[in-house]
Amino acid sequence: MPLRAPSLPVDVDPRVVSGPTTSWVSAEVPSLLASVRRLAAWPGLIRRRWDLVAVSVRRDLQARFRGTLLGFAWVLAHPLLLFAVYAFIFTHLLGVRLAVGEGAPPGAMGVYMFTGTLCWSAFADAVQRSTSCVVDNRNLVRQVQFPSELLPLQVGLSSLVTLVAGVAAFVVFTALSPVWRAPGLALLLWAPVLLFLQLLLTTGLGLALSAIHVLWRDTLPLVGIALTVGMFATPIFWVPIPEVLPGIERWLPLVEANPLHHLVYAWREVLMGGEPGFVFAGDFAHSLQRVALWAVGIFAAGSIVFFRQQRQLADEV
Amino acid sequence: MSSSATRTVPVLEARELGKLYRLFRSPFARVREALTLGAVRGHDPHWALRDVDLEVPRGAAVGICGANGAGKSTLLKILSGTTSPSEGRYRTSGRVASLLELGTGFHQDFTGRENVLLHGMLAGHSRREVVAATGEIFEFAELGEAIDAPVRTYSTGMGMRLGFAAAMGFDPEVLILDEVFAVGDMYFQKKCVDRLLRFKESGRTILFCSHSLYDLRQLCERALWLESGRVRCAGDSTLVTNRYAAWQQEQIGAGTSGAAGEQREDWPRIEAIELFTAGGVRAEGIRTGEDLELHVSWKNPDPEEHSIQLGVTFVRQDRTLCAAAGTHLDGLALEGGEGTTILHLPSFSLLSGRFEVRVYLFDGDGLFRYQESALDRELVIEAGTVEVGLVRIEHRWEVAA
Repeated sequence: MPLRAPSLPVDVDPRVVSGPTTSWVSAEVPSLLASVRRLAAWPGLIRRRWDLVAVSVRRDLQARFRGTLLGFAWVLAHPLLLFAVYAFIFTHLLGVRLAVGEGAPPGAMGVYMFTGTLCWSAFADAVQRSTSCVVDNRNLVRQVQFPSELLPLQVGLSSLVTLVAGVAAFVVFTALSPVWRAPGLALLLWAPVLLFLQLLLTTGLGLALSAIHVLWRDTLPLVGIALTVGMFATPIFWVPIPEVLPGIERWLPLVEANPLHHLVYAWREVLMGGEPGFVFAGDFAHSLQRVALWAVGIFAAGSIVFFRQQRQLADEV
Repeated sequence: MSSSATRTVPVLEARELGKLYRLFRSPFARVREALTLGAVRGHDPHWALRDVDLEVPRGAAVGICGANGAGKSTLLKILSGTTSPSEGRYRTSGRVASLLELGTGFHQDFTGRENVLLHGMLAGHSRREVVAATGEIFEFAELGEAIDAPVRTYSTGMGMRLGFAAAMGFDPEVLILDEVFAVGDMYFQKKCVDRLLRFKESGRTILFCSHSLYDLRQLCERALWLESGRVRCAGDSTLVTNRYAAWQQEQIGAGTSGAAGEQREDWPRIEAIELFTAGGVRAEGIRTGEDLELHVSWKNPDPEEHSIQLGVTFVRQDRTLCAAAGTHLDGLALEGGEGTTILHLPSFSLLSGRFEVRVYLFDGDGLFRYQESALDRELVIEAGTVEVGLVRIEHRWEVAA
């Protein structure tokens, strides 16, 4: 029974007749091809919605530190605290050593752990929070029409800010320190590339996990467990070379297959590459390439998972 | 038929629209269904909406009525794009703004100002456009200093003000509103209605659902009555709302309290309302100064248990309550199991306008409302003179010596 009102004798505002008619929205689940096409539309989406993304990231940072005494200093406090605890346990209590060559500066293992922790905690924070980001924003998802794929991206960006702050603090700290050499400029230029790849990686994981978490709320606790396991399975507090850690040989293929190992290694190369004592095996170009492959692959797969689920998110959240 | 400016391409168009909700019996059932690729069904299907066709031309206002759970909100949610249809298709043209639930998507910890900013950007506006529009939005919402307080400190009414102002604030071409008048004081309700009427007059389109049939008749020339997710009746808003109201009465009479949960079979109820001029003629349009009689027939199945009182109000189309009378105010008792009570209105003094005549059935204290009903048509009054104002007051002039 179509409902037709007569055309009304009204003065029509000329602006009103300008709007284009959208194409039909139907019940069909978008095809795989459509999802791939939306993958290609990411840059355009971010450009058009940059104001929204920027405001949301700032909000996210504000919300995390609003009402706290230290405010933004918490960004640094967390990795610093982790670093202090682990450095004490591993270097003083357990006596793990990094440098086998000559000329390693004192506390090399501490710096090694700090750089690893910095990278890992930003990654873990982003994954953990983006897993629940759609559920946390259910008010928005249920009531407002907007590109919800921006939510995991916003979380990833906000975590990146904490990483940038940590890296900056590290550079300042080493530049002022008489013992440590500040990272060289040539290597530091790789930092934006690593930041971008880390953003792709975490956003990709966040897209997939947040969509799955809407359907199965067990996802978040499982992600928490996986991140805890991952922190020890990734060379954050240990060195994957037999000279330092005898018996690691048979596990090396697993380490090689871990994208986070390559990410952490690449960060260490950028931050500690100038140190003569930094001798553990590794190939920066190889790790960078690995990270890039993983990041692009996970981002594409995560986006497609999200796009395929997106239509039901508002109903299930 | 129509000029090119008012071309009749619908701004909202839906074909065989349906929405299926899958209600999973447990989280485990969902996993089982997913793992077996649907071979083992773990959910109960529930069609919230089915086979809905809709065409809303530019500049129209269409109201949706129906009982709770009839699919009104689901239809509005689909058309505003927050949820997707399970079958059928729809399309819209122009910027669509919606106010689906009170305080649409507001973040409780952020201030009203911050929320409006975010709201505008979510709707796809640039920061500059949003900032340019906020002045008018804040002015309309009239929150004063509270605009810089966190939204969690707002009352429901304040949240609604801001939500409505924000939805209207970015110059939408189509407005989708879900029960916006459920809260808010009379002053703000009137302000909203005025704003909506101006919005409509500028050639923009409104789709809106409400339990208030009065609002539907006032704002919309067309209405849609949904029942169990399907269109039961569509067409002229007065016709549709009257049919719906009659159906509600039937439901109450039949004891299936589906429509109005709080009404019960053994409760007092209004059977009929009729308006006559002095000679016993059924009054359609009347003139100021005529004598009127309002006849209200009622039933009170259990007079021992329930004592009743009648109230009558005259409400002008801009929601101004113009006059009222109540048996409890005048000390009249309504006794017995049924009866017809006549309200005599000699020399009716309201001036020109369209009025809704509402009849209330109260309990003995005049506090609890058993039923609220209305005359099935508007009372149209012509003054017959050039007098202005709301009522003709008793007056005489005298020239001082």
